[in-house]
Amino acid sequence: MKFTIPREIIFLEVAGYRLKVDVPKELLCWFEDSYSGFLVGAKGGNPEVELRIDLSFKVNLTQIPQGCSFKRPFLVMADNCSLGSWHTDTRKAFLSLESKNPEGKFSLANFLRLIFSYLVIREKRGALLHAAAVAKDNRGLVFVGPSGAGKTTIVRLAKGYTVLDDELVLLKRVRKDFFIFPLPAAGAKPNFTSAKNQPYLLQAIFFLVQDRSLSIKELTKAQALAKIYSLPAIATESSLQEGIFSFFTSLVERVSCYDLHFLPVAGVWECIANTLRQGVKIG
Amino acid sequence: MDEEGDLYLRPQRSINTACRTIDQETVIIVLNEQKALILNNTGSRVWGLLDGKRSIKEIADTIAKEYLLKPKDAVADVQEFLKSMFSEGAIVWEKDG
Repeated sequence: MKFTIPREIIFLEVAGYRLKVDVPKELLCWFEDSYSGFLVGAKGGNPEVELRIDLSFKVNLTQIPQGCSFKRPFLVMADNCSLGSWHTDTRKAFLSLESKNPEGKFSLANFLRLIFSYLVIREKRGALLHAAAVAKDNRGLVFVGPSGAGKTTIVRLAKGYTVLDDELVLLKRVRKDFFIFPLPAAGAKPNFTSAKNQPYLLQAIFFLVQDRSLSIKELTKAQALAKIYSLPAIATESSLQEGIFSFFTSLVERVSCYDLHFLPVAGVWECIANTLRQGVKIG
Repeated sequence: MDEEGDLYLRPQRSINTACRTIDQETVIIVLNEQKALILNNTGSRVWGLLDGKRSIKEIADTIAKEYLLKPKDAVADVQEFLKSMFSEGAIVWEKDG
């Protein structure tokens, strides 16, 4: 009779950061299903984070504040079936999941996204946006907007593009250029071609505004900076804010940003293509 | 702020702000509030003068001279701007003396 739960060590790599995961064997199928593009071998340098996953979470909603928070040095995420914490001054992170709860795969995906986004924010080289992203020929476009703004709609209308994500987008600066890095997601979405785990050069950012007519207006750099900084917070801890602000400043200096007033019609993509081709205001 | 004596208050940028100037426009953020304010060229100039040493009157005099405004108009404009910056949590006041 065995007295221990069989475990496995695997390695993930996202945006150049390595994560070592110590996982119960019964959860390996989640990684094989959803993260196969992000799995790498054990060789390749020390991991930035070592995550241990356990199946011991017991729900006690009165004691655990829901959501994500960062109080240096702890990054904490809690929902109704998981509790994750990472001591950001060390490599050690833990995620406790409720055994056999299928929702746990979404908690796992969210915790992984938090970890990778914090790594880029800490280095003042990136940020995580509530946004959708598509790519073609290794170049990417980002569509920013709150829930209901039409992020999923617009990327579904894109023909000939690969959808990288329709919810969260990780941006990272590499030397002078800015790239979109696909993030681990909890399972492939219907009709989405799975993105490769590679950087996509960021070509433009569009702020979505649902409207009765179609128009695109280029923003000044200051307008773009104010808009992108005012988006709902991903990291609210004040020690991170200046770094995020610096990152966004360099981003808007390099990448064109537009207000996209749109209707959910196919013509929106002709309008976007014209804007990118001409680099001028349309509408 | 409406009293004449208030012209000797010395406005200072809050330590909870950060700013960047791009293409002659300044973007100010108030830390922890996820709020960003855009200042035009004149607003950027006033922001640059907020060092906690200059009084409102001194700032208004500088603006009047540089932008060829009547002193009275400059005072009104600067006061209005500072009021809005104060309500946004972007500045604090230093009392003279």
